[in-house]
Amino acid sequence: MAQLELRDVHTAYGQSQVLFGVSFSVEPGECVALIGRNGVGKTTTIRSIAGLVAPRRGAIEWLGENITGRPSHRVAKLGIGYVPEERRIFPELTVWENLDIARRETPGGWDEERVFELFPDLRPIQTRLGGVLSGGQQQMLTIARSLMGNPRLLLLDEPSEGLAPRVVESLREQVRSLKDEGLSIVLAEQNLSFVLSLSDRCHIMEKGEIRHSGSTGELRDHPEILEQYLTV
Amino acid sequence: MESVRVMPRPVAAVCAVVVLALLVVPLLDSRYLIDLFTEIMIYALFALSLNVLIGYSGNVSFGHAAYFAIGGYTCAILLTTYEWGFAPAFAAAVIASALAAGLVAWFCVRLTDIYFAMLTLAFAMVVWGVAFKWRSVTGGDDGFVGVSVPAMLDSRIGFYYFTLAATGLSAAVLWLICHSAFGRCLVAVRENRIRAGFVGINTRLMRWWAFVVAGTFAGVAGAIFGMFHRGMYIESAFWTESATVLIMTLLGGIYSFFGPAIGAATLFVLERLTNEYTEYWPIVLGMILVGILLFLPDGLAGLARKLASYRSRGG
Repeated sequence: MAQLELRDVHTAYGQSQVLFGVSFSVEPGECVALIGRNGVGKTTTIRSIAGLVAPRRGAIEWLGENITGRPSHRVAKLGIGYVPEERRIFPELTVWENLDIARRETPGGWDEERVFELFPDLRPIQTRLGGVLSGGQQQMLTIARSLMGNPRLLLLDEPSEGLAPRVVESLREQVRSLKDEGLSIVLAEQNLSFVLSLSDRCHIMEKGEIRHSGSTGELRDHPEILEQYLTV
Repeated sequence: MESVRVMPRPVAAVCAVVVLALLVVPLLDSRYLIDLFTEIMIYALFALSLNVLIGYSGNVSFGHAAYFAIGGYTCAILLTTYEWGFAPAFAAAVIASALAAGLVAWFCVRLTDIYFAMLTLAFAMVVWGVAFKWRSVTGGDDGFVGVSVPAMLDSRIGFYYFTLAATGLSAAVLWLICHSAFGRCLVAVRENRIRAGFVGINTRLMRWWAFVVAGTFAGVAGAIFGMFHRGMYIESAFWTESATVLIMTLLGGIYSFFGPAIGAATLFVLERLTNEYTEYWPIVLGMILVGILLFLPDGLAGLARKLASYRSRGG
Protein backbone atom coordinates (compact mmCIF):
# COMPACT_ATOMS: atom_id res chain seq x y z
CA MET A 1 0.00 0.00 0.00
CA ALA A 2 1.29 3.43 -0.91
CA GLN A 3 1.94 5.82 1.97
CA LEU A 4 0.28 8.72 0.17
CA GLU A 5 -2.06 8.42 -2.76
CA LEU A 6 -3.79 11.14 -4.78
CA ARG A 7 -6.60 9.98 -7.04
CA ASP A 8 -8.13 12.26 -9.65
CA VAL A 9 -7.73 15.43 -7.52
CA HIS A 10 -9.50 18.53 -8.85
CA THR A 11 -8.82 21.74 -6.93
CA ALA A 12 -10.06 25.28 -7.55
CA TYR A 13 -9.74 28.72 -5.97
CA GLY A 14 -13.26 30.09 -6.34
CA GLN A 15 -14.15 30.03 -10.03
CA SER A 16 -10.59 29.37 -11.11
CA GLN A 17 -9.84 25.66 -11.40
CA VAL A 18 -6.15 24.83 -11.07
CA LEU A 19 -5.91 21.03 -10.83
CA PHE A 20 -7.65 18.77 -13.34
CA GLY A 21 -7.42 15.22 -12.08
CA VAL A 22 -3.98 14.86 -10.52
CA SER A 23 -3.11 11.29 -9.49
CA PHE A 24 0.14 9.93 -8.08
CA SER A 25 1.41 7.99 -5.10
CA VAL A 26 4.37 8.06 -2.73
CA GLU A 27 5.90 4.92 -1.27
CA PRO A 28 7.53 4.95 2.18
CA GLY A 29 11.00 6.51 2.04
CA GLU A 30 10.53 7.68 -1.54
CA CYS A 31 11.22 11.17 -2.89
CA VAL A 32 8.69 12.13 -5.54
CA ALA A 33 9.21 15.34 -7.48
CA LEU A 34 6.62 17.55 -9.12
CA ILE A 35 8.23 19.62 -11.82
CA GLY A 36 6.90 22.10 -14.32
CA ARG A 37 6.84 25.76 -15.22
CA ASN A 38 5.33 28.47 -13.01
CA GLY A 39 1.56 28.23 -12.58
CA VAL A 40 1.11 24.59 -13.60
CA GLY A 41 -0.34 23.53 -10.23
CA LYS A 42 2.65 22.21 -8.25
CA THR A 43 2.01 24.41 -5.23
CA THR A 44 -1.75 23.80 -5.39
CA THR A 45 -1.10 20.04 -5.38
CA ILE A 46 1.06 20.43 -2.27
CA ARG A 47 -1.48 22.75 -0.63
CA SER A 48 -4.25 20.24 -1.36
CA ILE A 49 -2.30 17.50 0.42
CA ALA A 50 -1.45 19.81 3.36
CA GLY A 51 -5.13 20.64 3.90
CA LEU A 52 -4.78 24.32 3.00
CA VAL A 53 -7.22 24.06 0.13
CA ALA A 54 -9.92 21.41 -0.15
CA PRO A 55 -10.16 19.53 -3.45
CA ARG A 56 -13.52 19.73 -5.19
CA ARG A 57 -13.28 16.19 -6.47
CA GLY A 58 -11.04 13.20 -6.04
CA ALA A 59 -9.41 11.65 -2.99
CA ILE A 60 -6.21 12.01 -0.99
CA GLU A 61 -5.36 8.96 1.09
CA TRP A 62 -2.70 8.79 3.79
CA LEU A 63 -1.83 5.26 4.97
CA GLY A 64 -5.12 4.07 3.49
CA GLU A 65 -7.19 6.73 5.31
CA ASN A 66 -9.09 9.34 3.34
CA ILE A 67 -7.82 12.77 4.44
CA THR A 68 -9.39 14.83 1.64
CA GLY A 69 -10.38 18.29 2.90
CA ARG A 70 -9.16 17.75 6.48
CA PRO A 71 -7.99 20.94 8.22
CA SER A 72 -4.26 21.55 8.03
CA HIS A 73 -3.55 21.07 11.76
CA ARG A 74 -5.07 17.55 11.59
CA VAL A 75 -3.02 16.73 8.48
CA ALA A 76 0.11 17.92 10.31
CA LYS A 77 -0.72 15.74 13.32
CA LEU A 78 -1.13 12.71 11.07
CA GLY A 79 2.55 13.05 10.12
CA ILE A 80 2.61 15.23 7.03
CA GLY A 81 4.96 18.20 7.40
CA TYR A 82 4.66 21.17 5.06
CA VAL A 83 7.51 23.49 4.13
CA PRO A 84 5.95 26.29 2.09
CA GLU A 85 7.65 28.40 -0.52
CA GLU A 86 8.82 31.84 0.62
CA ARG A 87 9.91 30.36 3.98
CA ARG A 88 6.98 31.24 6.19
CA ILE A 89 8.43 31.49 9.67
CA PHE A 90 6.98 33.48 12.60
CA PRO A 91 9.04 36.69 12.68
CA GLU A 92 7.97 37.70 16.21
CA LEU A 93 9.15 34.42 17.72
CA THR A 94 12.77 33.44 18.30
CA VAL A 95 14.36 30.55 16.42
CA TRP A 96 13.88 28.26 19.44
CA GLU A 97 10.26 29.39 19.87
CA ASN A 98 9.57 28.78 16.19
CA LEU A 99 10.73 25.21 16.76
CA ASP A 100 8.93 24.82 20.07
CA ILE A 101 5.44 25.62 18.76
CA ALA A 102 5.69 22.75 16.28
CA ARG A 103 6.99 20.23 18.84
CA ARG A 104 5.20 16.90 18.91
CA GLU A 105 7.30 14.55 20.93
CA THR A 106 7.78 11.00 19.72
CA PRO A 107 10.17 8.52 21.34
CA GLY A 108 13.37 8.53 19.30
CA GLY A 109 11.95 11.30 17.13
CA TRP A 110 13.15 14.78 16.29
CA ASP A 111 14.03 17.26 19.01
CA GLU A 112 16.17 20.41 19.13
CA GLU A 113 19.40 18.45 19.48
CA ARG A 114 18.81 16.38 16.35
CA VAL A 115 17.53 19.39 14.44
CA PHE A 116 20.65 21.40 15.39
CA GLU A 117 22.85 18.50 14.31
CA LEU A 118 21.25 18.63 10.87
CA PHE A 119 21.25 22.44 10.73
CA PRO A 120 24.25 23.51 12.87
CA ASP A 121 23.88 27.12 11.70
CA LEU A 122 20.67 27.41 13.73
CA ARG A 123 22.23 26.49 17.07
CA PRO A 124 24.10 29.77 17.76
CA ILE A 125 21.11 31.90 16.73
CA GLN A 126 18.46 30.18 18.86
CA THR A 127 17.53 33.38 20.68
CA ARG A 128 17.38 35.53 17.56
CA LEU A 129 13.96 36.63 16.30
CA GLY A 130 12.82 34.83 13.15
CA GLY A 131 12.23 38.12 11.35
CA VAL A 132 15.91 39.06 11.27
CA LEU A 133 17.25 35.80 9.77
CA SER A 134 18.74 35.53 6.31
CA GLY A 135 16.85 33.72 3.56
CA GLY A 136 18.94 30.58 3.95
CA GLN A 137 18.55 30.55 7.73
CA GLN A 138 14.78 31.01 7.34
CA GLN A 139 14.60 28.07 4.91
CA MET A 140 16.55 25.88 7.34
CA LEU A 141 14.28 27.00 10.18
CA THR A 142 11.16 26.20 8.16
CA ILE A 143 12.38 22.66 7.45
CA ALA A 144 13.59 22.27 11.05
CA ARG A 145 10.20 23.43 12.32
CA SER A 146 8.45 20.80 10.20
CA LEU A 147 10.80 18.12 11.53
CA MET A 148 9.89 19.05 15.14
CA GLY A 149 6.40 17.73 14.33
CA ASN A 150 8.02 14.35 13.60
CA PRO A 151 6.55 13.94 10.12
CA ARG A 152 6.72 10.75 8.10
CA LEU A 153 6.33 12.70 4.88
CA LEU A 154 7.67 16.13 4.06
CA LEU A 155 6.06 18.41 1.48
CA LEU A 156 8.78 20.72 0.17
CA ASP A 157 7.56 23.57 -2.00
CA GLU A 158 10.31 25.28 -4.00
CA PRO A 159 12.90 24.93 -1.22
CA SER A 160 15.79 26.32 -3.30
CA GLU A 161 13.95 29.39 -4.57
CA GLY A 162 15.80 32.64 -3.97
CA LEU A 163 18.76 31.03 -2.19
CA ALA A 164 22.43 31.54 -3.04
CA PRO A 165 24.06 28.56 -4.86
CA ARG A 166 26.22 27.71 -1.84
CA VAL A 167 23.15 27.60 0.41
CA VAL A 168 21.26 25.47 -2.14
CA GLU A 169 24.17 23.01 -2.12
CA SER A 170 24.10 22.62 1.66
CA LEU A 171 20.29 22.38 1.59
CA ARG A 172 20.57 19.58 -0.97
CA GLU A 173 22.83 17.63 1.40
CA GLN A 174 20.46 18.19 4.32
CA VAL A 175 17.42 17.02 2.33
CA ARG A 176 19.41 14.01 1.12
CA SER A 177 20.27 13.04 4.69
CA LEU A 178 16.54 13.28 5.61
CA LYS A 179 15.76 10.97 2.70
CA ASP A 180 18.51 8.58 3.80
CA GLU A 181 16.85 8.43 7.22
CA GLY A 182 13.71 7.08 5.55
CA LEU A 183 11.60 10.23 5.40
CA SER A 184 9.26 10.33 2.39
CA ILE A 185 9.36 13.57 0.43
CA VAL A 186 7.16 15.30 -2.12
CA LEU A 187 9.31 17.95 -3.76
CA ALA A 188 7.85 20.70 -5.94
CA GLU A 189 10.80 22.41 -7.57
CA GLN A 190 11.94 24.20 -10.71
CA ASN A 191 15.65 23.75 -10.07
CA LEU A 192 16.24 20.65 -12.20
CA SER A 193 19.66 19.74 -10.88
CA PHE A 194 18.24 19.89 -7.33
CA VAL A 195 15.33 17.64 -8.36
CA LEU A 196 17.35 15.14 -10.36
CA SER A 197 19.90 14.67 -7.58
CA LEU A 198 17.30 13.94 -4.91
CA SER A 199 14.16 12.36 -6.35
CA ASP A 200 13.36 8.75 -7.21
CA ARG A 201 10.42 9.54 -9.45
CA CYS A 202 9.30 12.67 -11.26
CA HIS A 203 5.92 13.88 -12.44
CA ILE A 204 5.96 16.64 -15.02
CA MET A 205 2.95 18.93 -14.67
CA GLU A 206 1.34 21.15 -17.28
CA LYS A 207 -1.92 23.11 -17.02
CA GLY A 208 -3.03 21.39 -13.83
CA GLU A 209 -2.41 17.84 -15.04
CA ILE A 210 0.42 15.35 -14.84
CA ARG A 211 1.63 14.98 -18.45
CA HIS A 212 4.55 12.66 -17.90
CA SER A 213 5.60 10.32 -15.11
CA GLY A 214 8.81 8.41 -14.92
CA SER A 215 11.88 7.54 -12.94
CA THR A 216 14.57 10.14 -12.41
CA GLY A 217 16.98 7.89 -14.29
CA GLU A 218 14.72 7.96 -17.33
CA LEU A 219 14.67 11.75 -17.32
CA ARG A 220 18.44 11.88 -16.98
CA ASP A 221 18.79 9.55 -19.94
CA HIS A 222 16.19 11.35 -22.06
CA PRO A 223 16.66 15.08 -21.61
CA GLU A 224 14.41 15.64 -24.64
CA ILE A 225 11.42 14.84 -22.37
CA LEU A 226 12.38 17.70 -20.09
CA GLU A 227 12.91 19.96 -23.09
CA GLN A 228 9.49 19.06 -24.49
CA TYR A 229 7.63 20.10 -21.33
CA LEU A 230 9.83 22.61 -19.60
CA THR A 231 11.28 24.88 -22.25
CA VAL A 232 9.31 28.00 -23.08
CA MET B 1 16.17 26.76 26.60
CA GLU B 2 13.47 27.44 29.20
CA SER B 3 9.92 26.36 28.45
CA VAL B 4 8.74 29.70 29.89
CA ARG B 5 10.46 32.85 28.64
CA VAL B 6 12.33 34.46 31.53
CA MET B 7 11.31 37.99 32.48
CA PRO B 8 14.04 40.41 31.30
CA ARG B 9 15.96 41.91 34.21
CA PRO B 10 14.95 45.56 33.65
CA VAL B 11 11.27 44.53 33.51
CA ALA B 12 11.64 42.43 36.67
CA ALA B 13 13.32 45.37 38.41
CA VAL B 14 10.51 47.77 37.42
CA CYS B 15 7.93 45.21 38.62
CA ALA B 16 9.68 44.93 41.98
CA VAL B 17 9.76 48.72 42.35
CA VAL B 18 6.06 49.01 41.43
CA VAL B 19 5.07 46.28 43.92
CA LEU B 20 7.15 47.93 46.67
CA ALA B 21 5.60 51.30 45.89
CA LEU B 22 2.11 49.79 46.00
CA LEU B 23 2.91 48.13 49.32
CA VAL B 24 3.68 51.49 50.96
CA VAL B 25 0.71 53.43 49.53
CA PRO B 26 -1.46 52.80 52.64
CA LEU B 27 1.32 54.24 54.81
CA LEU B 28 0.62 57.63 53.19
CA ASP B 29 -2.67 57.58 55.10
CA SER B 30 -4.69 59.04 52.23
CA ARG B 31 -8.15 57.56 51.60
CA TYR B 32 -8.13 59.18 48.17
CA LEU B 33 -4.87 57.49 47.14
CA ILE B 34 -5.84 54.11 48.59
CA ASP B 35 -9.14 54.12 46.68
CA LEU B 36 -7.47 55.43 43.53
CA PHE B 37 -4.81 52.71 43.52
CA THR B 38 -7.32 49.99 44.42
CA GLU B 39 -9.37 50.90 41.37
CA ILE B 40 -6.28 51.22 39.16
CA MET B 41 -5.19 47.70 40.13
CA ILE B 42 -8.65 46.31 39.33
CA TYR B 43 -8.69 47.97 35.90
CA ALA B 44 -5.08 46.99 35.26
CA LEU B 45 -6.04 43.33 35.71
CA PHE B 46 -9.13 43.85 33.54
CA ALA B 47 -6.94 45.32 30.75
CA LEU B 48 -4.23 42.63 31.15
CA SER B 49 -6.93 39.97 30.72
CA LEU B 50 -8.23 41.60 27.53
CA ASN B 51 -4.72 41.69 26.13
CA VAL B 52 -4.49 37.88 26.17
CA LEU B 53 -7.19 38.02 23.53
CA ILE B 54 -6.00 41.08 21.60
CA GLY B 55 -2.24 41.23 21.98
CA TYR B 56 -1.47 37.54 22.12
CA SER B 57 -4.12 35.79 20.01
CA GLY B 58 -4.92 38.75 17.72
CA ASN B 59 -8.70 38.81 18.31
CA VAL B 60 -10.28 42.17 19.08
CA SER B 61 -13.21 41.92 21.48
CA PHE B 62 -15.81 44.68 21.77
CA GLY B 63 -17.60 42.87 24.60
CA HIS B 64 -15.05 42.10 27.28
CA ALA B 65 -17.08 43.92 29.95
CA ALA B 66 -19.56 41.03 29.90
CA TYR B 67 -17.19 38.74 31.85
CA PHE B 68 -16.19 41.54 34.21
CA ALA B 69 -19.90 42.05 34.97
CA ILE B 70 -20.64 38.34 35.28
CA GLY B 71 -17.83 37.97 37.81
CA GLY B 72 -18.98 41.06 39.70
CA TYR B 73 -22.67 40.23 39.79
CA THR B 74 -22.10 36.54 40.65
CA CYS B 75 -19.82 37.34 43.56
CA ALA B 76 -22.09 40.15 44.82
CA ILE B 77 -25.29 38.09 44.57
CA LEU B 78 -23.80 34.98 46.19
CA LEU B 79 -22.28 37.00 49.05
CA THR B 80 -25.40 39.04 49.69
CA THR B 81 -28.56 37.24 48.52
CA TYR B 82 -27.39 33.70 49.26
CA GLU B 83 -25.02 34.62 52.12
CA TRP B 84 -22.22 32.41 50.81
CA GLY B 85 -18.81 32.67 52.38
CA PHE B 86 -16.17 34.78 50.66
CA ALA B 87 -14.04 31.94 49.24
CA PRO B 88 -16.87 29.93 47.59
CA ALA B 89 -18.56 33.10 46.30
CA PHE B 90 -15.34 34.43 44.83
CA ALA B 91 -14.44 31.05 43.30
CA ALA B 92 -17.97 30.65 41.88
CA ALA B 93 -17.75 34.13 40.33
CA VAL B 94 -14.51 33.24 38.58
CA ILE B 95 -15.92 29.90 37.42
CA ALA B 96 -19.12 31.59 36.16
CA SER B 97 -17.04 34.04 34.10
CA ALA B 98 -14.93 31.20 32.72
CA LEU B 99 -18.01 29.16 31.77
CA ALA B 100 -19.74 32.14 30.17
CA ALA B 101 -16.57 32.98 28.24
CA GLY B 102 -16.26 29.35 27.15
CA LEU B 103 -19.83 29.28 25.88
CA VAL B 104 -19.60 32.61 24.03
CA ALA B 105 -16.17 31.72 22.65
CA TRP B 106 -17.58 28.50 21.19
CA PHE B 107 -19.61 30.68 18.82
CA CYS B 108 -17.18 33.55 18.38
CA VAL B 109 -14.08 31.58 17.35
CA ARG B 110 -15.97 30.34 14.31
CA LEU B 111 -15.64 33.89 13.00
CA THR B 112 -12.64 36.15 12.53
CA ASP B 113 -11.77 39.85 12.39
CA ILE B 114 -14.71 42.29 12.45
CA TYR B 115 -17.31 39.50 12.52
CA PHE B 116 -15.66 38.08 15.64
CA ALA B 117 -15.60 41.54 17.25
CA MET B 118 -19.26 42.22 16.45
CA LEU B 119 -20.35 38.87 17.84
CA THR B 120 -18.51 39.54 21.11
CA LEU B 121 -20.37 42.87 21.27
CA ALA B 122 -23.71 41.15 20.59
CA PHE B 123 -23.19 38.64 23.42
CA ALA B 124 -22.08 41.41 25.78
CA MET B 125 -25.28 43.30 25.05
CA VAL B 126 -27.23 40.13 25.89
CA VAL B 127 -25.45 40.06 29.28
CA TRP B 128 -26.27 43.75 29.75
CA GLY B 129 -29.90 43.05 28.83
CA VAL B 130 -30.14 40.24 31.38
CA ALA B 131 -28.65 42.46 34.09
CA PHE B 132 -31.06 45.25 33.12
CA LYS B 133 -34.25 43.17 32.92
CA TRP B 134 -33.71 40.57 35.66
CA ARG B 135 -34.50 43.15 38.30
CA SER B 136 -35.42 40.64 41.03
CA VAL B 137 -31.90 39.19 40.98
CA THR B 138 -29.63 41.97 39.71
CA GLY B 139 -31.54 45.05 40.82
CA GLY B 140 -31.93 46.17 37.20
CA ASP B 141 -30.96 49.76 36.46
CA ASP B 142 -30.99 50.59 40.18
CA GLY B 143 -27.98 48.32 40.52
CA PHE B 144 -27.26 45.57 43.02
CA VAL B 145 -26.32 47.56 46.09
CA GLY B 146 -25.29 46.77 49.64
CA VAL B 147 -22.94 43.89 48.88
CA SER B 148 -22.02 41.98 52.05
CA VAL B 149 -18.27 42.17 52.07
CA PRO B 150 -16.62 39.75 54.52
CA ALA B 151 -15.41 41.30 57.76
CA MET B 152 -11.74 40.63 56.95
CA LEU B 153 -12.06 42.88 53.88
CA ASP B 154 -14.19 45.53 55.51
CA SER B 155 -11.38 47.97 56.21
CA ARG B 156 -10.10 50.17 53.40
CA ILE B 157 -6.49 49.13 53.96
CA GLY B 158 -7.38 45.44 54.30
CA PHE B 159 -9.26 45.58 51.00
CA TYR B 160 -6.35 47.42 49.38
CA TYR B 161 -3.89 44.68 50.33
CA PHE B 162 -6.36 41.99 49.26
CA THR B 163 -6.66 43.71 45.84
CA LEU B 164 -2.88 44.00 45.58
CA ALA B 165 -2.45 40.30 46.37
CA ALA B 166 -5.25 39.11 44.07
CA THR B 167 -4.30 41.28 41.11
CA GLY B 168 -0.58 40.61 41.61
CA LEU B 169 -1.13 36.86 41.73
CA SER B 170 -3.45 37.02 38.71
CA ALA B 171 -0.91 39.09 36.75
CA ALA B 172 1.80 36.54 37.63
CA VAL B 173 -0.38 33.66 36.42
CA LEU B 174 -1.20 35.58 33.23
CA TRP B 175 2.52 36.22 32.68
CA LEU B 176 3.25 32.49 32.97
CA ILE B 177 0.40 31.64 30.60
CA CYS B 178 1.43 34.22 28.01
CA HIS B 179 5.12 33.23 28.12
CA SER B 180 4.58 29.46 28.06
CA ALA B 181 4.35 27.19 25.02
CA PHE B 182 0.63 28.05 24.96
CA GLY B 183 1.43 31.77 24.75
CA ARG B 184 3.89 31.16 21.91
CA CYS B 185 1.21 29.24 20.03
CA LEU B 186 -1.14 32.19 20.54
CA VAL B 187 1.47 34.54 19.06
CA ALA B 188 1.83 32.16 16.10
CA VAL B 189 -1.95 32.22 15.62
CA ARG B 190 -1.91 36.03 15.82
CA GLU B 191 0.90 36.29 13.30
CA ASN B 192 -0.67 33.99 10.75
CA ARG B 193 -3.52 31.56 11.32
CA ILE B 194 -2.88 29.59 8.13
CA ARG B 195 0.81 29.18 8.89
CA ALA B 196 0.04 28.14 12.47
CA GLY B 197 -2.45 25.59 11.15
CA PHE B 198 -0.02 23.69 8.98
CA VAL B 199 2.53 23.67 11.77
CA GLY B 200 -0.04 21.55 13.62
CA ILE B 201 -1.67 24.17 15.86
CA ASN B 202 -5.45 23.90 16.20
CA THR B 203 -6.01 27.61 15.77
CA ARG B 204 -9.69 27.57 16.67
CA LEU B 205 -9.01 25.71 19.92
CA MET B 206 -6.17 28.11 20.79
CA ARG B 207 -8.43 31.11 20.22
CA TRP B 208 -11.11 29.46 22.37
CA TRP B 209 -8.64 29.00 25.24
CA ALA B 210 -7.40 32.58 24.89
CA PHE B 211 -11.02 33.77 25.16
CA VAL B 212 -11.61 31.62 28.26
CA VAL B 213 -8.42 32.82 29.97
CA ALA B 214 -9.31 36.44 29.19
CA GLY B 215 -12.89 36.01 30.44
CA THR B 216 -11.77 34.22 33.61
CA PHE B 217 -9.40 36.98 34.71
CA ALA B 218 -11.91 39.67 33.74
CA GLY B 219 -14.23 37.83 36.15
CA VAL B 220 -11.60 38.07 38.90
CA ALA B 221 -11.35 41.83 38.30
CA GLY B 222 -15.15 42.15 38.24
CA ALA B 223 -15.59 40.24 41.52
CA ILE B 224 -13.08 42.53 43.26
CA PHE B 225 -14.74 45.59 41.68
CA GLY B 226 -18.19 44.61 43.01
CA MET B 227 -16.88 44.17 46.54
CA PHE B 228 -14.86 47.38 46.40
CA HIS B 229 -17.87 49.47 45.35
CA ARG B 230 -20.25 47.47 47.56
CA GLY B 231 -22.44 47.15 44.47
CA MET B 232 -22.70 46.22 40.81
CA TYR B 233 -24.37 48.38 38.19
CA ILE B 234 -25.50 47.61 34.65
CA GLU B 235 -23.04 50.18 33.28
CA SER B 236 -20.30 47.62 34.05
CA ALA B 237 -21.74 45.37 31.33
CA PHE B 238 -22.46 48.14 28.82
CA TRP B 239 -20.47 48.51 25.60
CA THR B 240 -18.88 51.72 26.85
CA GLU B 241 -17.13 49.71 29.58
CA SER B 242 -15.80 47.32 26.91
CA ALA B 243 -14.64 50.35 24.91
CA THR B 244 -12.91 51.85 27.95
CA VAL B 245 -10.88 48.72 28.67
CA LEU B 246 -10.09 48.42 24.98
CA ILE B 247 -8.74 51.99 24.95
CA MET B 248 -6.73 51.28 28.12
CA THR B 249 -5.18 48.28 26.36
CA LEU B 250 -4.41 50.22 23.19
CA LEU B 251 -3.02 53.18 25.13
CA GLY B 252 -0.62 50.95 27.04
CA GLY B 253 0.36 48.89 24.02
CA ILE B 254 -0.91 45.50 22.92
CA TYR B 255 2.52 44.09 22.07
CA SER B 256 3.76 44.38 25.64
CA PHE B 257 2.55 42.21 28.52
CA PHE B 258 2.46 45.06 31.05
CA GLY B 259 1.44 47.73 28.52
CA PRO B 260 -2.31 47.42 29.22
CA ALA B 261 -1.70 47.87 32.97
CA ILE B 262 0.22 51.08 32.23
CA GLY B 263 -2.62 52.15 29.93
CA ALA B 264 -5.21 51.46 32.65
CA ALA B 265 -3.29 53.50 35.22
CA THR B 266 -2.69 56.39 32.80
CA LEU B 267 -6.28 56.57 31.60
CA PHE B 268 -7.66 56.32 35.11
CA VAL B 269 -5.47 59.11 36.45
CA LEU B 270 -6.19 61.26 33.38
CA GLU B 271 -9.92 60.78 33.89
CA ARG B 272 -9.68 61.83 37.54
CA LEU B 273 -7.59 64.89 36.68
CA THR B 274 -9.80 65.89 33.76
CA ASN B 275 -12.96 65.57 35.83
CA GLU B 276 -11.53 68.09 38.29
CA TYR B 277 -11.50 70.77 35.59
CA THR B 278 -14.24 69.87 33.13
CA GLU B 279 -17.20 67.56 32.69
CA TYR B 280 -16.19 66.83 29.10
CA TRP B 281 -14.05 63.76 29.78
CA PRO B 282 -15.46 61.92 26.71
CA ILE B 283 -13.96 64.63 24.45
CA VAL B 284 -10.56 64.18 26.09
CA LEU B 285 -10.95 60.40 25.78
CA GLY B 286 -11.71 60.74 22.07
CA MET B 287 -8.63 62.92 21.59
CA ILE B 288 -6.49 60.36 23.44
CA LEU B 289 -7.80 57.63 21.14
CA VAL B 290 -7.03 59.70 18.04
CA GLY B 291 -3.56 60.40 19.43
CA ILE B 292 -2.84 56.71 20.06
CA LEU B 293 -4.04 55.61 16.64
CA LEU B 294 -2.11 58.32 14.78
CA PHE B 295 1.07 58.66 16.80
CA LEU B 296 1.41 55.71 19.21
CA PRO B 297 0.39 52.52 17.39
CA ASP B 298 2.41 50.46 19.89
CA GLY B 299 1.10 52.44 22.87
CA LEU B 300 3.04 53.87 25.79
CA ALA B 301 5.03 50.64 26.20
CA GLY B 302 6.11 50.88 22.56
CA LEU B 303 7.12 54.51 23.09
CA ALA B 304 9.16 53.52 26.16
CA ARG B 305 10.88 50.76 24.15
CA LYS B 306 11.72 53.22 21.36
CA LEU B 307 13.13 55.76 23.83
CA ALA B 308 15.19 53.06 25.56
CA SER B 309 16.64 51.84 22.27
CA TYR B 310 17.34 55.48 21.24
CA ARG B 311 19.23 56.04 24.50
CA SER B 312 21.14 52.75 24.23
CA ARG B 313 22.30 53.81 20.77
CA GLY B 314 23.66 56.93 22.42
CA GLY B 315 21.17 59.26 20.71
